[in-house]
Amino acid sequence: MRDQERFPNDGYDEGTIAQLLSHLQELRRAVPVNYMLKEKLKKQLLQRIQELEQERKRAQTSQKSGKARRLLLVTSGGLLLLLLAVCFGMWGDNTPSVRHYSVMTLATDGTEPLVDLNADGTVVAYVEDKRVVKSREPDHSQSQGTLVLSDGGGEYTAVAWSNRGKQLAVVEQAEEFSRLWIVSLADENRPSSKRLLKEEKGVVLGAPSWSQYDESIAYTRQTSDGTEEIWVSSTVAMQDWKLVEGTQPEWSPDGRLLAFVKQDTVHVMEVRSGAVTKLEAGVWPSWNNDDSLTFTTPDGKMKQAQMSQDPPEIRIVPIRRLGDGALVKAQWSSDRNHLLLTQKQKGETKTIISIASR
Amino acid sequence: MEMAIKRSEGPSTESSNQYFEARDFSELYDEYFDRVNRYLRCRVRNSWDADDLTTTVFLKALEKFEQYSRTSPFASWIFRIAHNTYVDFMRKNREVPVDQEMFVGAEADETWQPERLTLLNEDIRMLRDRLELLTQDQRDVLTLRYFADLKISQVAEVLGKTESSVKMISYRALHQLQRMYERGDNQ
Repeated sequence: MRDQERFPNDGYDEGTIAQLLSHLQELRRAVPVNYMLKEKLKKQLLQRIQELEQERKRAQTSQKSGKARRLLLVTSGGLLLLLLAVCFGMWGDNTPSVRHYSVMTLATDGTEPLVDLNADGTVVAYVEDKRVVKSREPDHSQSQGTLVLSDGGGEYTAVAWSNRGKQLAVVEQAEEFSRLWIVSLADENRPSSKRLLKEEKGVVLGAPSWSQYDESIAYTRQTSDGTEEIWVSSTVAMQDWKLVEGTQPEWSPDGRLLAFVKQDTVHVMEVRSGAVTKLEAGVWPSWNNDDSLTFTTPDGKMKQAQMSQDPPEIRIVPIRRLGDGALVKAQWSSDRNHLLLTQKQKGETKTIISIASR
Repeated sequence: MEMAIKRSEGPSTESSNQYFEARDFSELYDEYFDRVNRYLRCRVRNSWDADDLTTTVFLKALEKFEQYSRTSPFASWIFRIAHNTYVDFMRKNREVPVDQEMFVGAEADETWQPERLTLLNEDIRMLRDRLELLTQDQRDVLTLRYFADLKISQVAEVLGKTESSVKMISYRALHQLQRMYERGDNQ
């Protein structure tokens, strides 16, 4: 009825088109803008602009000093690679090989979420004595930095690097409360800081995983009756939502897929459609490129699933120089070139943390 | 005769032959956030999805900002990213049932009156239903032209069409939409 009043049926003259245009204009003004998001996103973008500026400066500096050295390195590196390829008889092989065996040992069970490798595989963040988060380069035996100091009673139960390597997600369990913190690391312009992303009573949060642009974090939420659910919290928009039932979520590099574990079996969900593909028995899925993931089998091996094939092709991936002990977890760094390995020897309570590269 | 392009302090005039966008990313963000957010909120039913897409658009834009030539309007460039992000979202989201959440909600302008808000809400939902009866091209042209507030030339650039083709699509779409309003079509 209102339409007929607004657009009388008197032919398609310019007058009625003008009425329609003015109606469209009115509706355009009626669509609200999320100003809260505008403010938050601006802060995030300004931070990223600073990071890009610093990266650019670093690149310029190293470009100037490194030209001659690069030529030398390329030549000698090429020869070395050629030699290695001949030695191993592995032309074009992409198999990861352990470069740093036993970077550290952790004393307790269930340590898999307590350690993570940064984007380019150069720094390991880990939780020590459940109270402190520290960082260490694989070549150093001592920690180089204490990232977070506990401020009251809670125990840290999981740590995860953001894809850009400037932030850490840290889970804290304090009596009945479970908290998910975002820790921004210190740089030359500002000290480290942390902010609370999620706090909930009566549940256990865990296994955080950052999405493609670090704009959200998926994590496990275990309710008091033992149900494990995967939730996502936006790091920019104060929103969170449930995705699926399961645990150990892991975003694919392009953010299109989410791998997770349900009933000790690895699953992959297409996030937009919700379509779930069930793979095999295993835990701790981790993506080694946009459509391929690895996971650990119950007998301590690493398998790879090629998701671009239907059904996905699954095969065992060997890891060179892995040493003794069953593999518990293998987690790729964000550049997908380094692998953080958690191993456990039979009868031992200690877990060995090593780093492999390809 | 001066041929060199001069860098200006303020926003460039888009009619100038020697167009040069001198503003930095944060200034452009301040100006274009509202238009991009509004455009995506108009195109996607779920406002959370629209806000996520807005975030993605500006993160992508920042990463690619060095590729922006500055000699063409920023509006065309940012809306090409916004439109492609939307198309990509819709392609991935094809099988998801439509969320009926209304997108006019808590963040409304404080000058609004509640009864007017409800009325506009209904109008917007009706418009969206009617837009869905148009062709994909017609929908793209109308939303970019009237909700993103782009000029014909900018819509043409975003969609990779000629200006005359955009004008023709726009003309037909408006008349079709007008007929729907007259008949009270919704199906």
